[in-house]
Amino acid sequence: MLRYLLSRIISLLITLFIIITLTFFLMHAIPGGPYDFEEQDLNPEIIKILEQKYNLDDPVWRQYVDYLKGIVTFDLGPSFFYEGRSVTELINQGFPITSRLAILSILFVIIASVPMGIIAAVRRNRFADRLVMFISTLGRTIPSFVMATVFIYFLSYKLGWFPIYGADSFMHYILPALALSLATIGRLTRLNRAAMLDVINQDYIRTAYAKGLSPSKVMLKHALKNASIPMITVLGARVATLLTGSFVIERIFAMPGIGRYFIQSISNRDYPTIMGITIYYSIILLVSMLVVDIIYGWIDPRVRVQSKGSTR
Amino acid sequence: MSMNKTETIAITEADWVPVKQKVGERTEVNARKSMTYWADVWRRFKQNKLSLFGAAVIFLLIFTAVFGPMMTDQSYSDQDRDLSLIPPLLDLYKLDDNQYLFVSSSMDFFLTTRGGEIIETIEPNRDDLVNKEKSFTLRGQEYTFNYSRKPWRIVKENNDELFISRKNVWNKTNPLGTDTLGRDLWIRIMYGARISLIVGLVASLVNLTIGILYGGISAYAGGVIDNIMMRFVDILRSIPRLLYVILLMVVFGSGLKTVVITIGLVYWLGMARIVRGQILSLKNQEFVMAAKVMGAKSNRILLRHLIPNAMGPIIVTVAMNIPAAIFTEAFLSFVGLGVSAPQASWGTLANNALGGLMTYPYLLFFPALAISLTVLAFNFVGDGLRDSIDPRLRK
Repeated sequence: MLRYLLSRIISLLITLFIIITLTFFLMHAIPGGPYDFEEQDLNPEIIKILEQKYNLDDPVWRQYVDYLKGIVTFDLGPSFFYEGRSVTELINQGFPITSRLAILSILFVIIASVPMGIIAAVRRNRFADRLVMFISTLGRTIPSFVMATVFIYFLSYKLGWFPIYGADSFMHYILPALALSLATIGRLTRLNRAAMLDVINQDYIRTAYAKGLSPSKVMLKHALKNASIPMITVLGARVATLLTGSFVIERIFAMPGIGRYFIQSISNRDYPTIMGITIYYSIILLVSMLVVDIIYGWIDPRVRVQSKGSTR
Repeated sequence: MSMNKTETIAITEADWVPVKQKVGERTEVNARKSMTYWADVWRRFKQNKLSLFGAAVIFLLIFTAVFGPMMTDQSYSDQDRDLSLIPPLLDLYKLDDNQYLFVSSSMDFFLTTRGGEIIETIEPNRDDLVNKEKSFTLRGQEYTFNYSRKPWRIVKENNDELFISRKNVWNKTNPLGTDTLGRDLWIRIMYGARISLIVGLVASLVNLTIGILYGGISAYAGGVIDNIMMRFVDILRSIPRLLYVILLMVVFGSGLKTVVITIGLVYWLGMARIVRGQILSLKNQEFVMAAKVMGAKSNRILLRHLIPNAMGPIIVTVAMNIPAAIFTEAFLSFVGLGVSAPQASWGTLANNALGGLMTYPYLLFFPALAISLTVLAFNFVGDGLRDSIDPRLRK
């Protein structure tokens, strides 16, 4: 297990290194810099001073090495747009909001898709199944920004149940998290249904029934536990979708999270912020995928045996 | 002796004529015509009502996108500042039998017919900001419009009040209403359909080409090359796709062309993996060996034997990639990175509508409906194709 973990961490670091390199050179391929905000042509001397300030007069490889050094110490450089603030500061400021949003939507996903998947599997091809599948298809296909605006219009504006903008209280998070989670709910419900259908026909489920256990106990203790394995994998990968989805959701609900900074930095051509947030998100994603793999090995003994047997 | 015997067998010309089976003579009658693979796929596809519905929506969409803009002489960028922000459903005040009055949410006055056609804009001749009153003259009559409190009141010279006599009349001039610049929303949505379809189809073609070549070469080459190529795919896959699309858009700059290229460049990863998996399972089969024995070169085996046999799953993946591409374009445009003004994609329209959501919800509603319906239709078709091409996958 330890060896497996170590090799996974090493491959994670290599992947991360490649991502950083790619992002860095992509961003440096764009002409422009901190002095591009002014409408008028700047005095060459001012440009020179600005370039010196942001170390843009160094050769590219030098900047690259400095940037790598910076990442190790969590220093992602100064923002071009927010004068005197570093990208790390922006991320630190937005992180609590974005993470609350993400955690709440993961919660929504689990709360909604597990029971819906079970119901659909148990009542296969009946009305309940059809209904659940229809809802999950809607969730999967309707873009989150459409959902978000529909929610704002009807639930916040017409009915007044939820606040419209901001991130001040718990109520502010419900609609954004819901809008964010619907696509994942759609996918996971489907997956959970398929996994449950697989498991329900296994012999050990028949054994459990034969022992005289109640259907609910069989479903929750025996079936769900085994059906949850593919779900956990997918949930790990969906963290990416939740994070990128939060770009628009935060914008629509005017929440000052990382996603909103990211979108702003794009329209402001604030390259260090774009770069920093990309790398930051990649780290979160890679780590969450690693965590999922570890959990995976922990709940599914078959994986453990395999990883021991194979060298890779 | 024996030689002589053989010579005695006389073979005439008639013996070389092939035997023809006579019609109606002892034949094994097939219960039904044998079906080709694709006929069978189509038979299964037809059984799925949702997929048929999806296909119908897509045909309608293609039809609208291709022919719709030709039927009007207006363009997506034509502005008419006099006719700005008119909703699709009008509440009309009755003036006389033929003429009705419509007051928009931005308090502009329009003369309309009974059926909801807009005749002209009425300019107010006085706007009293203190008392919140506007007045305008119509056929010699002076009308006063008071907006100090809701409901707004319109009073004639002789103190008769006008009331809304016809509610929710369909706007005949601009069926889906107009935006802030007086551009017709329906026309803009039709042009948006063009953009969405172009993005969906071209981006899928781009990632189909890259995916097939990359996955095919990787699987066929095998060994170290395969390992390296797939490692690279794994690394790219671990970057959130949307993030990577956004980064490339920042580098390339916005515009329809760059959107298509970027989405094509990013979404081939899944295709490559699927093609590779298919070809790995096919490449050791006998027909490939037969082709090799007959001296076929690698690229011929790949292009003529392996890829056509992997076509089923590839088509399913393409069908699934189209809505993903359309969705991504809408997302990018919504964020402000997609097609550039005055061109309008559905995402742009939705984004522009966001500011006035409370007052002009229709500006958001219709583009959102178009996006959702399109993505839904393509997904239904994709699901149907998957089930009918590989029935084993059906759960």
